[in-house]
Amino acid sequence: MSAIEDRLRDAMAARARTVRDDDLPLPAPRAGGGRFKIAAAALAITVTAFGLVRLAAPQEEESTLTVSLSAVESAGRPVVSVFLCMEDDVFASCKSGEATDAEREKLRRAMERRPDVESVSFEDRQQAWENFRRNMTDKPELLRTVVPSDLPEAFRVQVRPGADFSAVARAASEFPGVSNSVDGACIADRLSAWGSIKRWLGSKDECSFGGTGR
Amino acid sequence: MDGETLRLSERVPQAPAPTALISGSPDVELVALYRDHRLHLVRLAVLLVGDQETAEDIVQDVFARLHGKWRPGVTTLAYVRTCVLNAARSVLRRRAVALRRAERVTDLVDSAETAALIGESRREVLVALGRLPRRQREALVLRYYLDLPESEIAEIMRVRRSTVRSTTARALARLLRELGDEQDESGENA
Repeated sequence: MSAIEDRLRDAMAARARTVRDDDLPLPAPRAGGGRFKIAAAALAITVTAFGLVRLAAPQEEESTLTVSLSAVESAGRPVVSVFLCMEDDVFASCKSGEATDAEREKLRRAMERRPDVESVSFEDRQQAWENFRRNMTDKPELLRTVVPSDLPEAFRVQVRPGADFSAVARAASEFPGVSNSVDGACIADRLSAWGSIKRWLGSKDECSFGGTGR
Repeated sequence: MDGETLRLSERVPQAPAPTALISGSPDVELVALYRDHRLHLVRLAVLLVGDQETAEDIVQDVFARLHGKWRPGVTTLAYVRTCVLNAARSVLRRRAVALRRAERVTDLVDSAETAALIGESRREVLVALGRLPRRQREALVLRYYLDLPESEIAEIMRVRRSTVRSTTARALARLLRELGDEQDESGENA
């Protein structure tokens, strides 16, 4: 066994030595100075993206639109937002109606148990509406059309730095009572220079996961 | 959406580089960590993803994310290594999705120059290493490139120590088998 270990050591060290130091400077903070700006820009994009959909199917997509608005950050850090089914929700996983208390508690406990999750907070409709109103002051037409009951309840899941956001978002989307979950880091990422490179390399990041739980 | 994304990201002003740093501020620590460990982190990433360009992108991206998030005792070298490992996993996963195949590196030796520099025998080892499942490769790189103790590997990979032990043993056995087979084949052909 030790011969193979020595060969491994030697080969890896040799490969590593071929990487020369090219003195790249410490990168600037991600996507500009203010995290709020990321949020604002990302929100604007989501509105644009879903706004187009909405023209095509005004009734059906309305809640999809509102769902996406406050999905990106909480307290300056990207979060995974897990939205719960509302009555008459457009999402396929919500056919059997509003999320029940049992479903909500089960989801919360499962999220809190994950080692890659730092904290989980619940956002009711009123809080969702407050956030929405704060973010949308420059979109009076949206403020006029959306009322608190249009916004779903949600869990904001703070993922540990360095952990895989999309794994958390995907796992959450598989619980019953979840309409969809959104990976806020992925959305913020789309705005960064690195995000553009990755898209250029042909990666297809999925930022939003539709519920599959029922 | 892409056009819109580009347009909007242009509107987000670039932050000034952290020049006027107050001594003792978290960013001073980050700068020091970057200065002392960047090259080694890039080398670690190369052994995980195979090519230098991606490895450098990964390390730059990890540090860009760490700005303003320095926490004493939490943001350690082990922590940054975990970030690099996670970022490398994401890259491999995306490649796997794009190419519709398992999360393997394409080749740990990314150019003819590199191949010439390291020689054929080492190259064989690296090709076999690149064929291992992701976790097995990670365990071997942390153990035999960084020479880390089991406890630290467990911390970085976020698994139990017993898992590190069994993963390493399986990886070595598999590597030995692959390299042994190759030798047999070349022996038969000769």
